[in-house]
Amino acid sequence: MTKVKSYLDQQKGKLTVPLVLLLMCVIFAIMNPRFLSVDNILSVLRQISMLCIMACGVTFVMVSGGLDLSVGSMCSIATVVWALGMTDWGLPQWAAIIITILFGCVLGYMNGALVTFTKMNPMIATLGTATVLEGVGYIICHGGMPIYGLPESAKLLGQGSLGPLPIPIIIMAICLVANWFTLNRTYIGRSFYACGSNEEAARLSGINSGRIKRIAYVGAGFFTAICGVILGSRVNSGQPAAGKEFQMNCLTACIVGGISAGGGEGNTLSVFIGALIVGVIDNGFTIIRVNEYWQQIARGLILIFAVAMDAIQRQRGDKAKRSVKRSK
Amino acid sequence: MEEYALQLKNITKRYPGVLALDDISVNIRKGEVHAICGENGAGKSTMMKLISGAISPDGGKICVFGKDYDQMTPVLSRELGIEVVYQEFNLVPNLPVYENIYLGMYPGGKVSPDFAQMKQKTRELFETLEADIDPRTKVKDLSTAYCQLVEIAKSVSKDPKILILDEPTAALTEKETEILFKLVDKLKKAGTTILYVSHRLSEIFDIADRVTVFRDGKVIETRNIEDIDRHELIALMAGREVKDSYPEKINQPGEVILRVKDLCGLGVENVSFEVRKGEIFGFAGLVGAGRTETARMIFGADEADSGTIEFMGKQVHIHNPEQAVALGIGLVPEDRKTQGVILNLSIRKNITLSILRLVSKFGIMDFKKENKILEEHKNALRIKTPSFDQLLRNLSGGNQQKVVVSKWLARECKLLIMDEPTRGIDVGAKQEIYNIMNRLASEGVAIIMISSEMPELIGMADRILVMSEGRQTGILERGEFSQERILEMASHEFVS
Repeated sequence: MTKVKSYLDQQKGKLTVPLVLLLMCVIFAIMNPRFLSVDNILSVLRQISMLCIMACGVTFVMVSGGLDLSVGSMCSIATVVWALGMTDWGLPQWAAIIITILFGCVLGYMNGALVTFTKMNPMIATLGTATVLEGVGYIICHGGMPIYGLPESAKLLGQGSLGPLPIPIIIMAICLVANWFTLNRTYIGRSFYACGSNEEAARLSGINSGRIKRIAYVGAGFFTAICGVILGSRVNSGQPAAGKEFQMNCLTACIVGGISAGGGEGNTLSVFIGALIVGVIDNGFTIIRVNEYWQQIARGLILIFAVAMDAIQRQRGDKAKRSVKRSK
Repeated sequence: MEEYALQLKNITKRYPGVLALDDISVNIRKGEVHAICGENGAGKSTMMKLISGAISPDGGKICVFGKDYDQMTPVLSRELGIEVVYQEFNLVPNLPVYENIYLGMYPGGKVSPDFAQMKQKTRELFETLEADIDPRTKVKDLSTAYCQLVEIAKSVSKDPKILILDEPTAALTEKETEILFKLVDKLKKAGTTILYVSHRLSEIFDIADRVTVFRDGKVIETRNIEDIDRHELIALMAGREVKDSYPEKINQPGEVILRVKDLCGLGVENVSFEVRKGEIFGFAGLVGAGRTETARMIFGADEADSGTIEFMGKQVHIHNPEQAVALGIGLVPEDRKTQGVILNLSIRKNITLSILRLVSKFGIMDFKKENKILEEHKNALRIKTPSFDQLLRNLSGGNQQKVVVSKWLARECKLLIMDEPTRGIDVGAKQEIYNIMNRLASEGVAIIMISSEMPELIGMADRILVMSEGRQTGILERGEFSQERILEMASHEFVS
């Protein structure tokens, strides 16, 4: 019992977001019991799978103290590369996927290099690359024409299922495990937290903070490319604007879930819960027949709420810190 | 006429899980300089915050000039003429000094403040302080020591009846410390009551009339300064007899491990020296003499313009800390909280930061190995903590510093650069740090020790390099050490 209590004490303040999620689920379930049906739950999970996979990568960047606003455009262009691979270049699907993922990693590295070598503000740097990538996507597709004519097998990853489980959900689960493993069990993960919390201290401990941050951006590119492949497979084409809507949802999911915009905080559970909240809002509102503009408002409000809670708790924490002992 | 300016009567303050102040009573006489000392966590800061109104007590009364209050508020304490100079600065970097001093209470009102008057008054203020600061300088262009003086001037400008100084000399060199002492003397003559919190015991004997010792949230004793000596004071603070301030030297310097030649950069010019295995090599100098800069260039934290560094017999080019660490050089930085530790990470994650590669295989952490190394160092350094998952921000300054040192012990580095290793930590922890340094040196680790506390350098170092204005003014052997000599060399002025 005491163990439970001390755990709750430790988690104090971190429970707000899961509670909000629970509350939303309860409300939706009361308004329409179908919300809790297995079918619907699987549908929510499938809906959030791509978002969640993308957020797995963005988490690395944010935990290490950066920000990536280019994942939306990167995801779009990934669908294009993947589709081109199978059509124009005539590659088998597995090769197209590998090339897409490598391409994502390269784009991520470019972001990372831009941010770490020039010491640019990551928000501005990635906003720039986002704009460039969007343009590139449109040019490749001759002004936004989607790339069609994919083989039948291309539908598998986005639309297929393994037994009762849709494949995107399985991939999401694998990505979440990979994210958890990286953050908690590897030396890179440790370094992400160190760089995000106090880059100078990390650097003076012999950690190459620039390299660590570049790895984080590569991670974002990696997961975003996977997200792009699934997205392309779902829409069965290469779409130069398809990933755009993910950008803000992904950021919302990360921040709502509790990944600090200031760096150094957040974990895999935060990513998943954040993505779930975004997914539940979308699904729940649809199920109780409220139109999508209200969904958008709800997402925005939740985001503001989450950030405000974070800021308020931070202030309280600072106060408590100050009153126990002074800190510089 | 009341005899006491300030009395704390049976004050108790609780924090979750901690009794910060346990039924304490202190009487501060009018017009005296009353020193407060005690180890970190003894309750000094809590007491100051109660007096300034930043926090309120759970029980007891605060009596100011004969009137009892249940608690203070920041406004009330200011109205009563209480001013606190905290250790950290509350200055606006982009504003000039004079505006900082009158911030929030501009003469001439908020709409059309009288800047000329402000400047004039500030100038006069600094003249009485005998501090050489131009009121028009922006705060960001001032050294830390001068920022501290500005902070003190800001409080003094409000003509306080009771002035509380919290570790005012932590950032000051001897020169500015003298200015401060003169000021304290002047204020005392003018009838101001001064509460002086300090770790530096010699200062207390210089300026205090009485001293109150705190330990573990209790007042141990208040004594007249004439009735106590240094040893007794330390014993009261620590609750145990500390025989000698510095451990006996047991190290035997061996062959040369580091050879620095004509190092230049960051305002440092042509610094050359050698450090031997098992040697504690001191860097002395006033603030701004270039000691930290020299250390940072050796460690690769900043790049040098020119000069050569030979480490373990080979010439090395260190461009970043990563390379330095790989060679076996460690740095305990000057500013523990912003450079040494990561406050919101656990002890475990802080210590193994320098050895992540060593405790991981193919990038995957080997927790068994990590735990083993942690256990070794926990016992060796006596870090007081229930678990390695405790966050650094919950540790006292001394324990935080031990974590920084552990980080490098775990790395088994061959040269350890320690920049102000005992700044802001309590007497007991200082002793432990000294012991660790001595032990390391006797095991053959070379240590470069930068310190502004001269007795510490003299007590610990085998040789001392003295710097002034970015240049070295000499290297003293242990037999030649004396405070006067070092100070003389440190204040050497170069003709430009």
